[in-house]
Amino acid sequence: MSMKGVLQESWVFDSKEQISCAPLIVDGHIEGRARIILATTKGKIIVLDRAGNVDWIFDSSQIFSEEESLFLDAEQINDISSTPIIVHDKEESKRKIIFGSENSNIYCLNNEGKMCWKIQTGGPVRGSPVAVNKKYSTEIICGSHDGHLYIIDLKGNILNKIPVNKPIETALTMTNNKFIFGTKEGEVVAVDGNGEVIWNFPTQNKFTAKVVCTNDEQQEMLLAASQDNNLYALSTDGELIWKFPTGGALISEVAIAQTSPENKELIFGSCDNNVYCLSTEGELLWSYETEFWVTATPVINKHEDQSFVIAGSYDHFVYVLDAQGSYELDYIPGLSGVVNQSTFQTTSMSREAGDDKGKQLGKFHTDSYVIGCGLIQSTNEVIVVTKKGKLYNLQLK
Amino acid sequence: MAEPIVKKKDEIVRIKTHINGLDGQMEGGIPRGHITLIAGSAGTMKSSVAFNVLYHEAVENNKTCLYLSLEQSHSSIINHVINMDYDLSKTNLVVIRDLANFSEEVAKIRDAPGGNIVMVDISCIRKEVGTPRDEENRSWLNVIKNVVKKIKQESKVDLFVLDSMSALNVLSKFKNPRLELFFIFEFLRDLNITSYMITETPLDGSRMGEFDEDFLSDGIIYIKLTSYSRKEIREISVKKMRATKCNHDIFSLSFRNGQFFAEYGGQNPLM
Repeated sequence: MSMKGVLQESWVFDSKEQISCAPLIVDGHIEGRARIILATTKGKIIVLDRAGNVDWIFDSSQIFSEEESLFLDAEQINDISSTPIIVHDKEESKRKIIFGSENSNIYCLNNEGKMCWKIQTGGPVRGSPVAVNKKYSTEIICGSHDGHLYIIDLKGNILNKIPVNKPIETALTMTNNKFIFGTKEGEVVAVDGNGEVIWNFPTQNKFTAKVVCTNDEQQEMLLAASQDNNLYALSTDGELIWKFPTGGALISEVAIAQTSPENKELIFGSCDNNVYCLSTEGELLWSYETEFWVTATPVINKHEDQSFVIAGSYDHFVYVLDAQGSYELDYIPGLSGVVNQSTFQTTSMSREAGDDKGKQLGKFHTDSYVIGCGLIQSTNEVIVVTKKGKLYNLQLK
Repeated sequence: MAEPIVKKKDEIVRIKTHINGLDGQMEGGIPRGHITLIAGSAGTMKSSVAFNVLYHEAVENNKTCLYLSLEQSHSSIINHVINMDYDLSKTNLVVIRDLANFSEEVAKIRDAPGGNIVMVDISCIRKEVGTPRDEENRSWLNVIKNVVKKIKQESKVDLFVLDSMSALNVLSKFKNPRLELFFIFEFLRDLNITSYMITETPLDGSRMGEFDEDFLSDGIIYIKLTSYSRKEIREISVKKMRATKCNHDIFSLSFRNGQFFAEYGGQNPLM
């Protein structure tokens, strides 16, 4: 049965604290229980069940001495600014939640909200950790603003601390034995397992969005969204393939939509208020203009032969867009007054009749700036978090 | 917290500068809650003029006044004002020079009757602490904001002097000065504290501030040294004052018998 793309509120949870990252949706894999995990700017991890009831809360906020606290910005120092990850501890047959904090620590919690371990780095941890499954174990890799990559086992032992000598601002991307990340100075950096820089691609402003890899067998590309307003497509050797300019800083990551077996679309938001859809060649397929910044990474819902793009904006709305876009006419050729005026054929026919625009199917009004979106694909539930701390469970119909 | 909107101009509460002859030129004083630059080159008595406001408000009106010095030590400032005949025994003077004793010192303000002058010697603290470990989250700018906030929360702060904006830039290394200053100014406005920011100008007075703070501020009081036939005369003028009808004439600024005077506005003082 096809869906219209309308969003209907199922329930709302108010964390009463500000949120600055997207939620983590665990679709039935914490010992069979589906969970929604959100992180707040005051350092809380809140785990909800599918009905919006609180399962448990963990407070990671660090207590500082009075003297040290005077040097800190109390509003930001315990901020969890990147989405936690969930890993399966094969040895204990349990799920663990791992996240980094502005207070410089990397935390590991069990599924009951108890801390298993905590590792202190030398600087804020702003990118989500990455789990690497080895044959008999799982390793966690996380970058810190102190210029190191931390490789940690699930028991909390630091297996390696690789100096990369650059403040790591984003989550890591791993491809071809390289670690790739964005920095505050606006570089995309690729390092090897020893921390040696393999290549470095400079841009004009900092990165906060993770570099996304297309994992394309034909041509693997790295998509780096910079706050210098451009989306860069790089080869895995750091060469520029193409660049797409927008009118505003890019904070959202790129979401990749497989709209058909042959076609991929690249979808992201910009602080110029637009949601953009590009081909893998960097050509604009369509754009959709909201009323304010789009910083949340869009999510893609595939339902039968339909693909929906769900994008949240700082204008308080969550939009459901048709991934195919639509062609909007500015005038109707043959029916407008232009046809009746004598002119040269070349000039009368040279102007485009319209533009490729995103097609809005539905929208939902929230209480505040939309910070992140998530999706429970199996049940078409859309999870949206706003800056003021509300989590909305919306049913896509 | 946005500045409250008054219904009539009489409702605007004004804080005197306690410079004889100047307050009458601006409807009685500076509107409460304003952020005013006290601008001038070296040696123009900017710090003394700022201290003068705090002293009189603490002694005469029982206000709690905070003087935050980023470079000059508290002993240097105190010796200087004593030499100017300010009687510090008339008010409760609290000096904070060690962050470890911060809460104890703040308690003295809360429990004291009458007015307070709280002098925070950041220069002394800087010598002990050195450079904060991680400039990203640990900064002197946070120290300044947290000190003001804490004293306001634990006791109260009616008036605030920051000495000086140039020293703040050195400590905080503004990357985007106009933006960062905007947030500092808004921080003070949200706390509704009448503030005086001492800012150094070039000798020729070609600029009122280094970082566009003149555009962000609500008022500018400018002091300069002018040579007249081998005499050096200090001159003061109100360059800008929002919500105030001002006389923008240049006055001679002098200090005698423990008081500041602004005289001969718009006239040649030697005639």
